[in-house]
Amino acid sequence: MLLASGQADALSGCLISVDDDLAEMVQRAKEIQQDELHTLRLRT
Amino acid sequence: MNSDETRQEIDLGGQVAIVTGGGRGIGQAMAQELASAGAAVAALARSEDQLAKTVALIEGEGGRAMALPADVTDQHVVERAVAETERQLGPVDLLVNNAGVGGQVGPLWEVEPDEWWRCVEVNLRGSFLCARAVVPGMIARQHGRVIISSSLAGTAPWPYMSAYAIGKAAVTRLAENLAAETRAQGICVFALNPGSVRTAMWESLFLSDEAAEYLPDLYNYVSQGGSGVPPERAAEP
Repeated sequence: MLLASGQADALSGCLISVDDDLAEMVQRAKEIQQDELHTLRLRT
Repeated sequence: MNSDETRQEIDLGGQVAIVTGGGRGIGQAMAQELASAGAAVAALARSEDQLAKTVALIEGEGGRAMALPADVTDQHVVERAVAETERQLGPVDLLVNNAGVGGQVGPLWEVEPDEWWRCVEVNLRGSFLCARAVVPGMIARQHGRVIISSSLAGTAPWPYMSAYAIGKAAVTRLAENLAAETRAQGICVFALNPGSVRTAMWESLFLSDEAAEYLPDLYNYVSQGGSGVPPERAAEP
């Protein structure tokens, strides 16, 4: 519902789990996007 | 934020949503949640009987809904379903790509190739075709959201469920790609892991003889009544 409402738009492109704290994730959205957290990435 | 608080605060009045796999389980719960927040909902699935139940549940609560009997892997059927939604309800603001299947449990070299591919096809091609049909209208309006049901199975190997894991990894990347391609057009795309929800699909997967052999922990959990995440909880994000 939060995803549908637009309140989590800053997290576009992310994989979000039912147990995630979305409000906390939105507050950290810049870091999450910049560091490519919640995405599929190759770690080396 | 709990579910009740979310419902009170979120107003989707005037919005139109399509929910694939909306005839039962998580999709049905999502359709009901969206309708309860005021969205007009088009529920898409293969089973007309199941869709009728979803529509009845929503209308029984005073919401607005329509049934879209369709197979998400059929391009022309999907395109017609989206056109019919827009004709009856209006431009689509939200697409929830929830339709999916679990595939056959077993070693990759022993599962039936057609069944393996069908699992990937429903999960990936279905999400791709629905997004492909809806996104051009969203781009024209510079507004829209797409939610694609994924899974933790898409983030790491899931032995003996290779088709499901590969399909979910692919749709997670699909969400990332679509988000990057449409960010400048005001569209937001999310991959959503709803958790382990005890649905009919879940039971058919994990109560099988193959699950008993290859996934004994899951088989025992489900056969002993493990409930997983309630569908309505899975619909909350």
